[in-house]
Amino acid sequence: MTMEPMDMDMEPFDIDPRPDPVLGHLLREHLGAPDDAAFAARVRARLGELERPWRGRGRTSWDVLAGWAAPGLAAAAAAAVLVLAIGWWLLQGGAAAGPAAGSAAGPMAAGGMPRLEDALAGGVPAVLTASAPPPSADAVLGAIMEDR
Amino acid sequence: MTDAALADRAATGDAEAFGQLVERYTPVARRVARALLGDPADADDAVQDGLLSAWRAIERYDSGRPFRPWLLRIVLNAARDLGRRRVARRTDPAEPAVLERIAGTGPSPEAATDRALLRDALDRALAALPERQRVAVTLFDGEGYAHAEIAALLEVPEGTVRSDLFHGRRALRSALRPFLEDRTG
Repeated sequence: MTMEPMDMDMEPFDIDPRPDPVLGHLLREHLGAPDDAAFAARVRARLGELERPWRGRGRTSWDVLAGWAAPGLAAAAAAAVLVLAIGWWLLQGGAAAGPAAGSAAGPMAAGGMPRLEDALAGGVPAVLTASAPPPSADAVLGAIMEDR
Repeated sequence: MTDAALADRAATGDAEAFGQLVERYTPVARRVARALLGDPADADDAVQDGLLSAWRAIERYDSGRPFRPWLLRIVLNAARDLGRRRVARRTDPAEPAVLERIAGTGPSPEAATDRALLRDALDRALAALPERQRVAVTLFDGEGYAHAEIAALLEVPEGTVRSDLFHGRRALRSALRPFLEDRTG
């Protein structure tokens, strides 16, 4: 091993601004590991195995917004269709309920449920008060339907 | 191609570009990790962990700054993490020396023994240094890095690097004095 003499007597705070060739040579030789190329090849092979969502550098905020645009437009269109459908349904429901107000049959004919006050407007049917135990749900429903 | 150009390409997902950086910095990364950890197998594990971490984080690299300290800092952090995990599994520093003596590598048995003893002394001297001094001496004297670059890598002021170098070199020279005086005098 060829080595140059190194400065053995360094004064405190006298810091040599140049690398020490002897110490450097020793360190490189001692710390060096065999076959750097094979090691690097193993690491390179693993780079491709790593799965990660690659976002990529160089994308601007406009690129990001553009990426959001298509799903955003689709969501807005779906929301608009839903609002229009609800509005149309409310308008249709209101028009149908108008002439039948005050009777149980009106809402039923329009496809809705009669209100309890409307159903009992003509008084409580006798069948519901004749028996001592409370009437069953079927009996109540049957009485209301018969009353129609 | 420059480090910055390769890193820019790597940041777009180009594994081949990052692979070139891996080849470029594998030797120094292995030496620094070995200086930090002592055990060569641990050092290689740390370097691999560090390089793969750098690949995952390459988008966060600021191409306006030097790539080398950025990469080596990640490798150093990986080595520190691994060192903390494997602190109980340190290799006996005398082991390589004994093996070399038995194997008788070198031009003569005497030279092989001298060499083994020198390695042993260097192992012990490096292991006795504080971590920052070990890294500073390895990078400055072994790899020729500038004070400023080492300071950036270790995230300390340049004055601290100079002080670490002074103390680290003094300790190593003192430990190796008998061998070096034999060789040079």
